[in-house]
Amino acid sequence: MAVYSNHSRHQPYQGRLTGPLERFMIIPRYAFRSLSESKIFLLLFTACFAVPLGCLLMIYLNHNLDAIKMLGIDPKDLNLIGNTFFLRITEIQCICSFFIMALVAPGLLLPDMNNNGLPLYFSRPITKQVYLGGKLFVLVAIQSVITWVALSLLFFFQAGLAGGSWIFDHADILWAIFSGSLVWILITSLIALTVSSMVRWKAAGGALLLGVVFIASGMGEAINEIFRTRYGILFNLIYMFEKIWEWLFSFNVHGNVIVVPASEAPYLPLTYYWLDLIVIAAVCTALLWRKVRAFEVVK
Amino acid sequence: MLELDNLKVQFGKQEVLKSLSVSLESRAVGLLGPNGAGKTTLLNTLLGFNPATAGTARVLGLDIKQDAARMKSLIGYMPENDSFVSGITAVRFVSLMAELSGLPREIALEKAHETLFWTGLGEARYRKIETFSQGMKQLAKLAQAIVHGPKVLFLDEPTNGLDPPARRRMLTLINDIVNKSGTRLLLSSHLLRDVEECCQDVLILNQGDIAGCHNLEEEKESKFKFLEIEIQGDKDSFTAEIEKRGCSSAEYADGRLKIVLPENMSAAEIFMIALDMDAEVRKMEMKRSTLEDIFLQAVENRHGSVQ
Repeated sequence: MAVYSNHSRHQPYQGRLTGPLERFMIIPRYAFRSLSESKIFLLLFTACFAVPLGCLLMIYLNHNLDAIKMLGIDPKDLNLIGNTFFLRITEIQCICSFFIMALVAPGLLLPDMNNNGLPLYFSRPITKQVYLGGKLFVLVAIQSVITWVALSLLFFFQAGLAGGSWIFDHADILWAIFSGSLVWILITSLIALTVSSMVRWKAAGGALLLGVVFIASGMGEAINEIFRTRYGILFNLIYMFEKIWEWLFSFNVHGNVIVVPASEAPYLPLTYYWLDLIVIAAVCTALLWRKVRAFEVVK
Repeated sequence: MLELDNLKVQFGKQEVLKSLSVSLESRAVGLLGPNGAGKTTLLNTLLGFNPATAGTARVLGLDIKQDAARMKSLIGYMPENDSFVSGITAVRFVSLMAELSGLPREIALEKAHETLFWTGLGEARYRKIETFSQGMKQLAKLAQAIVHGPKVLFLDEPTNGLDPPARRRMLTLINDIVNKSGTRLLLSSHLLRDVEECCQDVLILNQGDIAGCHNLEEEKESKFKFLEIEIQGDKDSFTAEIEKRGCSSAEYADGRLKIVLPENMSAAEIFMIALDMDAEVRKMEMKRSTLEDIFLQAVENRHGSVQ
């Protein structure tokens, strides 16, 4: 590559300009490149696939009697691959993806915000929507690979081994994996970006994010105890998602409810949880919109 | 290049820019004013960071509200404070900014290298910007502002925190950009010499209002000869008398008078007038008009004393 040809004179660029889609992908591309240089990220990201790999083995064993006999496992001890199986892996993968996000999210916004870099972005033909959309895309993409993409591959692996009409009889699982994961990803990504926009250090951002989710759950329990109410559960993000996932995985393709084992009836109607998630998303978007701006307002 | 049409900006109840209207056509415009005059607010408004409360502005004929995206693709902006993206090397930072301005990936990288060499940061281009000295950070900011070849360059206090050699280098680079590549310049500064060296026109702001708008060359020629005089006695009668004879005068905050002489008048005649008026001349000095005089006069004319 010709690095430069003329030191003595700066020559302005006169050629073709890129389109909006190409420009939208610039922020994610640079973020992915920075992440690929982080060893700790690569290590944790790889570790997130341990459970799906174990499940892959389980699915294989479920369909291979010779291997079961060879390992001396009683076929009755093997789990039936169905709604409950995929529900549990979805829960595990979503929690794993959350820890990865706590590591990644602060590093997306802080390098720009801490060094007054935002005016440089917004003085260019880049809107706040494109900027935040690009940052959100990074979190959504990383979490998607860990959750619904990995789980969909497991689903198709199971469908391939089971053969026949299994894939059509269990299409509801695929929908539950996708929708359950996506709602989790969107809500947690918004929370992560909002929290990251409010701190000055990456480590503090990650810790605060974990605190917001886990301490809020404890706070919810405390509210329930002190005020003898059940509305404190609306602070418990993990509980709410547990119930939403159970609900999503509790239907078969014909719309009949399948009882998911080991689940208790939710404290509040599911509509409350959905509404709560909408409110959380709206508040996070508003805070993020206010916080991410080209200049500081000094009052 | 720049047209302000009753542009007004208000933060809460405070009016920061008061219905500014002006049209500036020259290639390099200096934005002058004391601290807090509204220079940075004006730049921020032109860039769309602050919404205008009323009125509008046009940069290169493009409306800042309606053609914001198109206008921004023609602008290069260097902010006043430290502005960079940490954790990445200078070349990746400048390349990122070039890509965001619309340059294709490979060209952006090539231009980033080229621009960093041109600004004198070639050897440091693989270092992270947070490790740069203040002068190097300023040059990196300039590099990101010009990497995409903007048609207009907005520079906000570009020589802030620079030592004299670095300041000289920065001004040389700015002059090169304006004179050799045909880029237009809007330079905001409270350093009069910076503006004097780089600009043809000056827009003077004071307390959010336009205190003056001048062409530097014309001003220098028309007010080439003037006197700074300190007198004791009836100052008002003295002023009235010299103005009767074709002089124009302005009073500084400390009581000194600045007198612009007509072509056919000498300093000795002023001395004689003072003698006739029984005014005691304590000090008299012949001076050339500088931007400082234009600036002081503009600010004084409006408010009686320099803020």
